[in-house]
Amino acid sequence: MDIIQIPSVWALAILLVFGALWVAFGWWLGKKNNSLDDFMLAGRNVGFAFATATAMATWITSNTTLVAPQLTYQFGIWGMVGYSMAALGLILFAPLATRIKSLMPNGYTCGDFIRQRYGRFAWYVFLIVSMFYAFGWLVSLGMAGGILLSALSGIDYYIGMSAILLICVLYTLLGGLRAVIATDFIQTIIILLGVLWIAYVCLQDVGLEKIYSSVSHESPELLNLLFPAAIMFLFNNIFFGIGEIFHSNVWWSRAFAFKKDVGKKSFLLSGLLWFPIPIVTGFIALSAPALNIYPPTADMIGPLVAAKLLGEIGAIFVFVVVFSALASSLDSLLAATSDLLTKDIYKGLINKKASKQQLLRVSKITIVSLGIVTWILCLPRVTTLGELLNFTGAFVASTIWPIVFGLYQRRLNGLYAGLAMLIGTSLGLVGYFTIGFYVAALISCLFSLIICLIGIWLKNANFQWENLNESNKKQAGEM
Amino acid sequence: MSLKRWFALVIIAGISHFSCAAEGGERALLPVEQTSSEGYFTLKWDPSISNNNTQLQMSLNRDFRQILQSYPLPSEGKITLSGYATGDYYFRLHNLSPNHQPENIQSHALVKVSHRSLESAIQLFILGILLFAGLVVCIFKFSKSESSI
Amino acid sequence: MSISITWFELLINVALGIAVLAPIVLITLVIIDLKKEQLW
Repeated sequence: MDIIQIPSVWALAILLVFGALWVAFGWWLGKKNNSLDDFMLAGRNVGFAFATATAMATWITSNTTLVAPQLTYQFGIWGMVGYSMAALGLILFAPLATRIKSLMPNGYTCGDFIRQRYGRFAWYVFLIVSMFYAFGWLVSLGMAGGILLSALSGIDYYIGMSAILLICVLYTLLGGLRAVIATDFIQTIIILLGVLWIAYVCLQDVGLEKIYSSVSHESPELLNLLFPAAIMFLFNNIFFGIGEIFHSNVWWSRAFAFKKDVGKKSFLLSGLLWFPIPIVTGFIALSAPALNIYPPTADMIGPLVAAKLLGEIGAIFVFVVVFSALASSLDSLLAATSDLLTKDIYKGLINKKASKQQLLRVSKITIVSLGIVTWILCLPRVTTLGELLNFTGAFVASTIWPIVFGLYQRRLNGLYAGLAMLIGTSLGLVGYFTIGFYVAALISCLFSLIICLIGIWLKNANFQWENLNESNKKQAGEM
Repeated sequence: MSLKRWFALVIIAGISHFSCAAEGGERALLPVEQTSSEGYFTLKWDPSISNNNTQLQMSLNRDFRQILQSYPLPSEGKITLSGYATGDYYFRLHNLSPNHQPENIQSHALVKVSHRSLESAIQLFILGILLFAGLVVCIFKFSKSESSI
Repeated sequence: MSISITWFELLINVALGIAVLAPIVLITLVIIDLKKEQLW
């Protein structure tokens, strides 16, 4: 029953062709980049179509193509529905994107906002949370790349992982956010067509009735709507998704980069269009028993079923789809994390008087360094994909309330915002280790809210929004 | 006992212990016993046994009177199964070739599936709904009154 | 309490329907933006 593997020469050829294509595209788009704003934020003028596609593509990651089937295999119906609820993160971010753009028309990163709104303590905590998440995601993407290649072709895990990182670093380096967004559009179309094709073949070859009957015979709990662990997982995943989007510079940089008035509708539309994707990729996993497929590890279920359904040609196609999904997230994350490191760590802490040209150079060096660090962290293949990423759930969910209150409310001050993130994360991690990964984000979000409410009740920071805009203007002038 | 002889004995004992463990490990499903509160679990064995003639069998009884399910073995030497309801499940590796000696049937592994209580899951679910509703209401109200803030 | 076959089919078919719409919507939007020269 083992997976149909494509010859490693083919796999390498695909990587080479697609890699060369993305890199050349990145180089071509990079020629239009004249300033730091061009490189970091695509000139702050991204239109509705690209804005929607990039939001969608970035949110379709290895998680959606590999972890959604994994969670469906583990948690059944609630696994895939719960996963698709991560779209709520995009939808709820829509009004926030408008608010961000209007409060900080010249802003660069989410770190800028936290520092100016809450001060140093909260900023430090936020940076730790943000960096932990960014590296968790980077490592999970790098590892997914390696796992995919080793599963679908004869290529070694280390070679696959290195190739994907190298390609993404190269085109992000050459083209900045413009390259990231333009490749995102093409990658979204490839991913959607690929996923739909696999789903179509699955319906034709197996059929929903057979899937349903074999699952209810062999793995009845997967269809159970009262599956306890899956019910616990549902809202956890929602808060995890919201936390990921609300805090991450990947999304803030898009809010800054999109044209005025485009942010809200593009995030809304991308959320609505993203909704069904985890269900489409997830339900394929439910056909495993009907196809007599039983995976060695749960994270292998997606590629195993797809390759079995589609044969050798299909294996090549699956390979291209997952490679696109990985690249569309990896590039965004490289660009956004590099912005955060350049603006917040380098300009914020190391060289406060850095010029525009210096920042552009540092930003490029950071992209390369990030690639190298991720590569080193991916070397030991430590844990399954889902577990690694869910570990960060405790971190990101703690930022939801401080960000919402910070954007709209004057009362909450920096001390309580920082404490909310700190205590929320800590208790979320306690939940992760004592109950299970599927409660970490929920617990973290809850306690973060409690601390925020105590803070709002005890003290009034009376923050003036003009401060945010003024220091912004000053900063834009400096740069 | 001379020191030399003592060392020699220790080394021999060590080697024999190691080889016994290796032989036992080759036939056994690991872990011998595990509990799962989510209905999914992983069983491992020596990958060299994975062939078309051997399959993984599941039964509700230790003596495997009735085989409820048989699974083909992935070549990686491990399998992840999911969707099991609460109960005790016995697994063994079974060689199907006709000339195979029955005494070579491998030892079994026990998986105890005990799902978390539905009550606590629903409590968490309600908590999640309330927290989520709170967030939606907050964002909606905040963004409506945005201009006035 | 298991999901019934009817609801299961409905869930998957609705998801597939929206997923089919997604690439069509995205490509149409890009063509419109391209014509209006509003891509960037």
